[in-house]
Amino acid sequence: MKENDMSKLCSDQDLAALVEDIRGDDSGDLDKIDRELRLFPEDPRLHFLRGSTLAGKQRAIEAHQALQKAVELAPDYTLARYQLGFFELTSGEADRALSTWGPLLQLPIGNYLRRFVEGLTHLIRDEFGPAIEQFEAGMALNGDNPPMNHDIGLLLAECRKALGGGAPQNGDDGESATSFLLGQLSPGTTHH
Amino acid sequence: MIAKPERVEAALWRNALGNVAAVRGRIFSHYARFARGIARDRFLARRSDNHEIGDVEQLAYEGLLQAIDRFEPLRTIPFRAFARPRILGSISNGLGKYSEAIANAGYRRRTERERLKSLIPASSGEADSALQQLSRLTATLAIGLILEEWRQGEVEQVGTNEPNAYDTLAWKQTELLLRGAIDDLPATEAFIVRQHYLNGVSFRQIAAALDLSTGRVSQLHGRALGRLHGRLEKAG
Repeated sequence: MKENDMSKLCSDQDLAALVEDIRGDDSGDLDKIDRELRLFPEDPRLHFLRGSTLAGKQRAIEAHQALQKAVELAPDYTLARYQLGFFELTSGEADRALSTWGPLLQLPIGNYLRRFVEGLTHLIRDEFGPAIEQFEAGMALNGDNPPMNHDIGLLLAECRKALGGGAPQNGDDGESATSFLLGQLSPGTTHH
Repeated sequence: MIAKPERVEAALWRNALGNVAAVRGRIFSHYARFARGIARDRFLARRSDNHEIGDVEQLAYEGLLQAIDRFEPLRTIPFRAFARPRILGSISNGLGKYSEAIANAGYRRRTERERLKSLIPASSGEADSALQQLSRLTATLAIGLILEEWRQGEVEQVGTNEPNAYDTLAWKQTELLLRGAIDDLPATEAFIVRQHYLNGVSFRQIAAALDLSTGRVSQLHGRALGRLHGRLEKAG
């Protein structure tokens, strides 16, 4: 985010406090986020937080709108872009997801989000072998977001199953990436 | 592997925000089976009333179309919960209004008339003799019967191990060819064929779903069956 935009953003401390507050007690969580958004309507992190909270409440239409707003405000906010695309993919909108993810394919090859997107792109085409390769590479590179590795791990297990390569790991349920968004959101993550 | 049904459904409504007319057809397709299920339950419950299943389904689809137009996606009530009482209401009101005379000219007869009307212009090639025209019309009507058979198969689901005419290799190949040919039709024509034959939706209701006139739907139906006939002819 540029220097002169900083006043439009909620401070890192306030954002961290808001995330902690919501994590500890989710009653009135949307009200709390909306209160901050009234003060900082152009803070993409707040829209991202709102989107993830709405997704957790199964309010999918508004969740998508909020995630989209976050990406519109900060096109280089890679985590939000990744999650928006993932949300679209889980909504049966594969073409839209690919379009949303497009810019992530310009990231360096050592970026785990790029690897995950490449893996998901293979998965869309039922190319399980290459999807597994990309997922594994991405998980090895990802030191920032352990919850995301958990999600990708579930997909990895499904890919292996599809290839006839054994039982899924952990016997976990198919919890979606968006359910972990709260855990991923930390101040200053717009990567500008 | 990845798509979640509740999100897929939400995406349908998200795309309808502000312009439901643009995606009404897709939404209708998504819920047509749901409406038909309600119609069948009602039909079985009121079998003694002597109505045709086709009539009950048409009323269910009418209720579905009304529900689609009145639904507010951003309210947290799920669409099916919103639509069910409206569909049931449409069936109850509609059946209550049917006179004996209307029942006599039931869904099936009306549908057959509509189809025939739609196919006659499509089948009248310029240089063809009357016999050739009749032959083409018959073949096109037969395609409709094949398509309808898929739906009947779904309705009846009778468990018999005896092979019948529909189990022959030639028949299965024709079916396969037809399914592929429908996939290749222009989107609106494919929608009309699928909804009319596979879901039993009348031209009038398809017209409402697509924001077209009934005459236009009839015309497109004729064109679609003409194309399917052409594909079957080519395949020999």
